Order: sequence, then structure tokens, then C-alpha cells
Amino acid sequence: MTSRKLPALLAAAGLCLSGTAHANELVVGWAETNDTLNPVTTGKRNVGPILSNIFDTLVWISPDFEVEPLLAESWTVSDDGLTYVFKLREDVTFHDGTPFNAAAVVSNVEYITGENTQSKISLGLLGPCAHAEATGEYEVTFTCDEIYAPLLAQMGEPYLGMQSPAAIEEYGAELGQHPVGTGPFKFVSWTPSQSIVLEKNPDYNWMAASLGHDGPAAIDKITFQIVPNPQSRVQQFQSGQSQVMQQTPGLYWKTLTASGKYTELPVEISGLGIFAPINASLFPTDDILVRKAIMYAVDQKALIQLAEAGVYPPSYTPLSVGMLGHDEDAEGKYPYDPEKAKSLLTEAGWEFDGTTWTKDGKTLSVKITAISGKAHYMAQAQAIQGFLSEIGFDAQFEALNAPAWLDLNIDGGSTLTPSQYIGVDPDALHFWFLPDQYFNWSHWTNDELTDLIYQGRSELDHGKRAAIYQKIQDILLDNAVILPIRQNLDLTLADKSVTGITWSGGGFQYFGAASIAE
Amino acid sequence: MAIAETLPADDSGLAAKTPLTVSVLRAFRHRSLAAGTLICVVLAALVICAPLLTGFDPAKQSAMETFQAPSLAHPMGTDAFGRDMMARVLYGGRVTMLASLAVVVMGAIAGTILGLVAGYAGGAAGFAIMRLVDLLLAFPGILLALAITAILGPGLVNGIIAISIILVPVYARLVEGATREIRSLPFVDAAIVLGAGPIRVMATHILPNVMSSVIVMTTTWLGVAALWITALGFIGLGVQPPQPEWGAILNDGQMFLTLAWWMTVFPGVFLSLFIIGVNLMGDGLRDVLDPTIAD
Amino acid sequence: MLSYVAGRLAAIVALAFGISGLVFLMLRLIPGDPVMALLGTQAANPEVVERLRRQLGLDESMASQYVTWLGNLFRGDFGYSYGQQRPVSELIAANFPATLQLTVCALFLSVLLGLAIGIVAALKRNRAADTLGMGLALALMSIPSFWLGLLLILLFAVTWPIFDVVGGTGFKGVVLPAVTLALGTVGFNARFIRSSVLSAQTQKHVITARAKGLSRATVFLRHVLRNSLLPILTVVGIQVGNLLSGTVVVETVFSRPGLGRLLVDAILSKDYLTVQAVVLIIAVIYAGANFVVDLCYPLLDPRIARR
Repeated sequence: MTSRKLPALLAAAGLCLSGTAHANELVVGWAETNDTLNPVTTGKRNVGPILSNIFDTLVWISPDFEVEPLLAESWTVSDDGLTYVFKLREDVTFHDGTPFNAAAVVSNVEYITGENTQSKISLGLLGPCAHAEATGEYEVTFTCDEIYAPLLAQMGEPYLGMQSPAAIEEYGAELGQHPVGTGPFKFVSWTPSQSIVLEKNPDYNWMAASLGHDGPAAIDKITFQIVPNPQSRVQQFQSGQSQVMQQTPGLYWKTLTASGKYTELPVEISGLGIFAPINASLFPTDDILVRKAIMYAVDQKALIQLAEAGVYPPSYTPLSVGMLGHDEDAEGKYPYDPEKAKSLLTEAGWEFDGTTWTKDGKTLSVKITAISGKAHYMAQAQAIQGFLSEIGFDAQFEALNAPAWLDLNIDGGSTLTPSQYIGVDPDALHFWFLPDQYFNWSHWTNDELTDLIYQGRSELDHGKRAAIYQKIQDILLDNAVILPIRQNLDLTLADKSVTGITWSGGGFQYFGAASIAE
Repeated sequence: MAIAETLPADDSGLAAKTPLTVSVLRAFRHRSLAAGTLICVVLAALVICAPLLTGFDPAKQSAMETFQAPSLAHPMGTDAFGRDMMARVLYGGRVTMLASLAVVVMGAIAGTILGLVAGYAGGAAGFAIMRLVDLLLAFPGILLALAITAILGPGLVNGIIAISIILVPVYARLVEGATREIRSLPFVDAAIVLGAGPIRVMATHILPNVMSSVIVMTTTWLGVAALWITALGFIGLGVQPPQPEWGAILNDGQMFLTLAWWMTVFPGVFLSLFIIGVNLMGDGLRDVLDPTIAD
Repeated sequence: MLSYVAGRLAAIVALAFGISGLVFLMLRLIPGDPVMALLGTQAANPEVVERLRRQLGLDESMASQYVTWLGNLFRGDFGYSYGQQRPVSELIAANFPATLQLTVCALFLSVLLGLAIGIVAALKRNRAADTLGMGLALALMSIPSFWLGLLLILLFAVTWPIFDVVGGTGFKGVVLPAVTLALGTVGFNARFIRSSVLSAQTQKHVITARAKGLSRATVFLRHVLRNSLLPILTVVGIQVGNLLSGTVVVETVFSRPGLGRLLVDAILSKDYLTVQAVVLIIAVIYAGANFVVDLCYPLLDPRIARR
């Protein structure tokens, strides 16, 4: 053990010396610990942004979901929608000098689908299209078992970032500690739970065109300092020990942005936003009238005001703003109307004695759960509890650690729980509303809905797809099986001296085009 | 070991009083006991009279009144949900104080029974119990509590159970030792010869003799129980919102430390005062009840 | 002596064995599926979950999992962390130095302050300094460390930014956590040392030395303090354990890396192998510290060695 402790001690000593950044070096206050830096085996959404700076994907997704060339110069989709041919750039090399070509892409796909690879998010993103073949030195063909419309957008998520085949070969299970990509930054070091250091890739010259940046990144070195405690992260940022900070808590965002000293980067995390599925298999929300009463009883704007200082835009439909099919007009569906909520309860046969609702000797009792470590979920759940108590619900609250919370909700033991889901394609809805899915936490299915979800997945025409997802949102809201809460933003703040930080579609901070003023 | 030494007793004026009054009055001449009792009584009175002192409901949210600094309307300010902090601190005190008490009482009862059985039965059963006790004592307490609440699920009752489980081995070890000693005394043998069953012997001969050590132990552990129950609340595994409890209130406040100091300072002051009061009382009681420890 | 050492070592091994079994069982009683916990709310379709369960060996029976784990342990292999995807031994090696630094600094502070307060209180027995010192000791014992930590951050890192908020392992980062951790145990030390100095003062040879006309200072240094060393050693033994478990809270409050935080995170995310290894290590350190202290007794007091 002693020989192993030494490098860690040295790294720790180095860490305290590198506390302040020099010119062209950036310290980023990062909110969550990493499980790995291997895009294939990570199960954590917040590893994505770091990955997107080390790895490039075949395509780049702009913040407004335009699919642009990145490692692939161009692509064609066959008429039957089952074959995708990507023409690759010919001037790209990995950080370790390995050339990037069709064979490298094939190795990556084989690695993702490999029997011994503990693939997590990545495997799901390829869907039924996990077969790649080199049809030329710089041409790769993906074939799908069925039409899969989400593929192109999902190809742009950092979890499908291209890794050096030589590194895959060399490091095996340790690959996550030796990430080798083609991105604007190279991996330097990673001290678990403390920091991740990246340095500029001097050979980089293939940034996505829409970013308007030629050549290598302007920043020499980025240190992601992992500070899970939000209070400490804010302090670190305010005192100048970091120049960028992610996941700023609402109240601090409000005060810090009011000072005008910082650049605001509300990174839009696409998907289903923050929402609470309403359990339609559990008494009393198995009654649609009770579910509707909940929808009318919760005032999203006031909820955000209570839980997060009002800094987030509310959401009224499951698909977030900007995503294909997002329903602009959903806001009017369930206006805040506690009287209407009460009359719905009366209509459902509940009787109110001034303090509690009862029906057949049972009280109107619901169980709201939240992950105990996540301050925003806790706050949202408590605010929902407040709204429901207001109209006479007996609203119980239970905070659980993540594994227990997952278990309880998968088993259908909780009425409502704030959650999030991240995706770049509206097909993300299928995880929450198809039968037999782990995340069908509404515990509700509907044949028409199931059909529509499958149609949406296999429809390649944008206009027709949008219409399908419009219908899906209508069904979900009409049946009141999901309570949309707010948009999902990663409130990122940067010092005014730092410019050009952007993000790729889905919400992954990207520092390739950023620079620091002297 | 006590903070203040017992004052020289002058019982001349007490001669006319009943023996019980005498001993109570004598006990209160002990300065730390008196000070501790005063602190605890005042705090208890405050939390019991909470409805008279504040008109606010500790769970009532108000979107318009979040994060208000202390003022006449809200003497301790308001929290992130616009709830009145004074109401939360006062009502929360009820939970913290009762829970700490419940922890030591449950731990003491379970530990004493276990210790009695182990010490009286001896042999393989006693050995097995005591090795389990050693095992539990080798665990850092807060980690054991963390693991137990993780198994039972969060919540006040589960938190109380978890912390009393930590106290069980402490009591068991104390009582086991004392029981073994008393068990070998002639009067116990005499009782057995006269036909007393083991339960009867334990209840009428052994228990009364270990009782004073158990009580002394309880007073010293009450403060620790309060620390642990609030630590659990602070980690978020204790009471569930919106129920207030000092540790949980501190947890709410920690995120807004620099923006709303009142959310952290007031509940912390009350909690610290309570534990100081309990510890003072414990010191005093120990000196009064167990003269062998006094220096 | 040799048989005593062997006996104690055997007891530590037995303890480690018992703890490992207990922890193994407890972890599996905690509700929640570790495989689901790994995936969180991201793209967990049932096939991916089952594939992963198979790959991690979590589809095997509990007994066979335990046997596998023990077997690996005997070969010095703590296994692989599911959550952090690297060998558990590496995680421990990366986190241990920070915890060691924190614990050692806190132990040093705690004993030093305890000695100062305890000795002053004993020498000025029943005077204002005694009452003040013991009052301080009681207050320090009573103030919850998590609250004290928050107050120290508020005062010395925010209002007067002398120290770093994010507790790194540099000097500016270790001061506040170490002070927070130490202060909770100072009270106990001060009381313990006061009473041992008091009892040393009443011993016959001390009274004789005083009668011989030696100066107060000489008597104190040569006789009283030397006799109090033994209790101080006892205090160190007790506090190593207390401080180690205290790091759990302090590392969380100060966002410091360390074994405590590693353990809490691992428990909350059901990272079985990491929890098993860290608890085992903490228990062994705890028992080991007491063992070393016991071994030191005879060196300081030959009377014990002769027994």
C-alpha cells in the first residue's frame, strides 16, 4: 500500500499548490464526483460535459438541436431508414497519435456492444443500430434492425465519443482512468473525488463549424475541482478560487447575477425537464379526478419561487423547450386553480370536513418522495407538499437515498416524486411511458400512447414526428399522469474574463472555443 | 471530574424537612446540577409553551416571505419556504428533546436487559452476547447509525431506534460486569437456594444494585444522544419535512449559510444550550448519586 | 508478553472477521438495487440492467458473493468499486492521506489544548481559572461539530476570508476542519487530564517530594506530569477512534476528500465493495490504535510490565 499512497500524497500536495489559476488556465467548480472518464461505461449524466471536451462525436448537436458535421463530414440515410453511411474526416488523429478512420469507429461500436464491457448510457443510445462496418477507409456504415429516428441526434451525445482503439486495447478495465479521444483537450490527471485536469490538444483543428473557432483551444489547461457542497462551490467561485461554477443554487444565482459581475450561462439540459410522474396505480391517484386535482393545485411559478428563488422557467409539458414536438400551448391546460381542484375532489366522491378529505372511511393521503442528497428535489417535493396540504391533502413526505428511492418508485410505492430525464430526442418519453419500462413511474399505460411512441420512433419526417409527439403530450396531460415542474437548466456562472463557453445540444458545457482575457 | 465541587453541606436548617426534600435540596446545592436544571427547565418551558409564544404554524409555507431577516414579526427570520424560524425552532425543540430522551430510555432498557442476561447466565450465552457487544463497540457509532437508518429507512422513529441500538452495547457491558460481580455474592446464592427463579433474582436482587450506575450512565449519555440524533437530522436521515427538528433545521440552513445566517445560528444556539444543560445536569447527578467517582 | 501480543493480534483478526460478516449482511439488508443505483435515472432499459448485473457478479447468491470477497481479501484484493470503476485499494490510497492528515492534526490540537486546559484547571483547583476551564471544556463537549464547522466557515472563511472554504489538503484548507474536529474532543481530554493530575498530586511520593522542599515547578514536572503521561496515552487511544468517526461529519461539512466521505457516499450509493473495505480498515485502525497504546504502557510504567 505504501508505494501506492505516495503518488496520491504527491498529487494532493500538487493540488494545493495549483489552487490559483494562471493566465490561460481555468478552474471550474464541478458539482458531482465522477464514476469514470470512459464514455461507454459512465452512468452519470454530469460526466457528459467533461467527456465532450476530451472526446469528439461523429456529429455535433448545436444548442438548438441542429445536427452538424464533426468527425463525420457528411452522411446519408437510405430510403428505408435502416442504413446510415458516414463519410469521415481524414485529418484527425487521437491524442495518442493513432489515426482516426472507419476502423476506429467500428472498434468503438464493437467495444460498446462487447460482452465484457459494462456499457451503460452509451448502449441505450445506439438503440437497434449497434452494427457498424467499415465500407471504406474513411466511410462507415451503420445498419439498424428497425427504423430508429433518434439515432442521428443521439450520435452527438458525448457518451458516444470516439475513443482511441489503441487505448481500448491497452487499458482494458482501466480505460476510464486513461481517456484518449480526439477532442480539444487531452487528459492529464484525475484524483478521485478531488479534481480532473485537462490540457490543450495542440493538434486540434476540427471544431464544429458553427462554433466559429479554428485551430486548437485558446485555454491551456482546465482543472475541474469537484466540490459537491453547493455552499462551498459558491464560496470558492466568489473568492476567485474558480472562474467557472456549475449547478449554482437558485438563490445564489439570483444574488450573484444581480451584481452584474459575472457571465450567466443557463445551460439548457434537454429531455423531459424536471417533472413528477403521478402514480396512477396507487390509491388515491388511481382516480383520474384526483390526479387532475393535483395538476390544478400546484402552481409551477410559485413552486419555483419557493423551492429555487424563482430563477427557473416553469414547464407545462413533458418535452422541454426547443425539443422536436415541444407543445407551446400546454401552459393553459392546467392553470393554478385550487377551487377547481377541490370541486374535482368533490366530484370524485371525497368529502371535506374543513381539515381532511375522506371517502369510504379513507383519508386523502399521498406520499411524496425525493432523493435525500439532492437539495433541489427536496425543495421541490416540499413545495408540492405545501400546495397539496393547502387544499386539504394529507401529504406525507419521505426523503430516501438514491437506491432506495429508485426501488420504491419502480415498485410503485410512492405517489409523486420530482425527477429528471435527459435526452436529445423526444423518444426519451418511451422510458417513462411504455409498459415494462423501469421508469414507468406513473404505472400507467395506454394502447394508443404505446402505438404513438413506436410510430414516433420510426417516423423520419420531422413534421410528421412533431405531430405525433404533440398527440403524445396531449394524452399524457389529459390523463394527468405527469406533473411538469420546470425547465432543466444547469445554472453555470463564469467570470467576466472568460468568454466563449458554450454547450452542445442536450446541455454539455464545452470549453473548446472559450478564451480568457488577459 | 465535575465542573464545580460540591459545596460543604450544612444541614442544620434542613433538619425539620422530610428526608426526600433534604436530599433534593442538598443535591441542588451542587452548582452545575442547579445550572443544568435551570437551562433545561427554561428550554423545556419555551418549547412546551410554543403555541403561546408564536402564532405561526411551523409548516406553513409562504412564497412571499422567503428568507426574511429577523424582525419584529419574525424574531428569528424566515426560511427558504417563508416559514417562521421561531416557530420552527420552538416546535423543533420538542422533537429533539423528546427524541433524545426516548433514545437513552430505550437504549438503557434494552442494554440493561441484555447485560443482566449475559452476566447472570454466563457460559456460552453470556460469551456470545458479549462478543456481539464487542463487535458493535468496535464500530464508530455514527456509522452504525447511518447503516441502520439506511436499512430501516429514514424517519424520526427509525432514527431513534438506530441511535438506541448504538447505546445498547454500552449499557450491556456496564451491566454485565456489575451483574457478574453481584451474582457471586452470598446473598444471591441464598435467594437461589430459597427457591427464587432467575427472573425474580435478577429483578429483585441484582437490578436494584446496578440501577444507580445505569442512571448515572443515562445522564452522561443523554447529551451524546442529543448530539447523535441531531447529527442524523443534519445528514437528512432523521425527521422528514416539514416536521421541524433542530438537526434538520440546521441542514436546511447550511445551504444558505452566507445569505441567511439566522437559519443556522438560532437553531444551533438552542441545540448547544440544550446539550450544555443536559451535560451540566449529568455531571451534577453523577457527583450526587455516585460519590465514588467524585475526586 | 509474547503470548499477550499474539492473543491481542488474534483478537483483532477475529474482530475484523466478525465486522466483515456483519457489514456484508447489513449492506444487503439496505433496500435498493446497486445496479439500478449505478444507472440512476439514465437510460436504464431492462436488458442493460441485467447485463450489468451479470457482469458485476451480483446475480450470484449472497453466500458465494461473500466467499468470493473473502477469498480475494486474503490475496490482498479489495475488489473493484462499482461506483467509481477503479480498484477499491486505489480509492483508499487516494483518500487515506487526507483523512490521516486531518486526524493527526486534530489529535495533536486536541491533546495539546486538553493538556493546557486540564493542567491549568488542576493547578488552580477551585479557583476562577478552574471553573472557567472546566466550563469551557463542557461547552466544547456540548457544541455539535457540524454546527461549529458551519460557524467557523461563516466567520473565518466568509466574513474574514482567512482560510479556504473548500477544505483542500494545503495548510489553509486543513486548519478549519482540524479545529472543528479537535474542539469536540478537547473537553473530554481536559477533564480527563485535570482529574489525573489531581490524583497524581495526592500520591505519596509527590507529597514526600514537596515535604523535601523541592520547588513547586520541579515537583510538577518531575513527579506529577510524569505520572499523568499514562492517562494521556489512554486519551490518545480513545480519541483516535472518536476522531476517525468524527471525520465522517467534518469531511462532509467542509467538502474535504477522505475516507469518511468516501464511506458515506459509498453507503448511499450501495457501492458494496467500497463500504466493506473502508469499514474494515476503520475498525482495524481503531483496534490497532488501542493495541499500540496498550503496548506502550509497560514502557512508561514498569510496574505493568512485571505483571
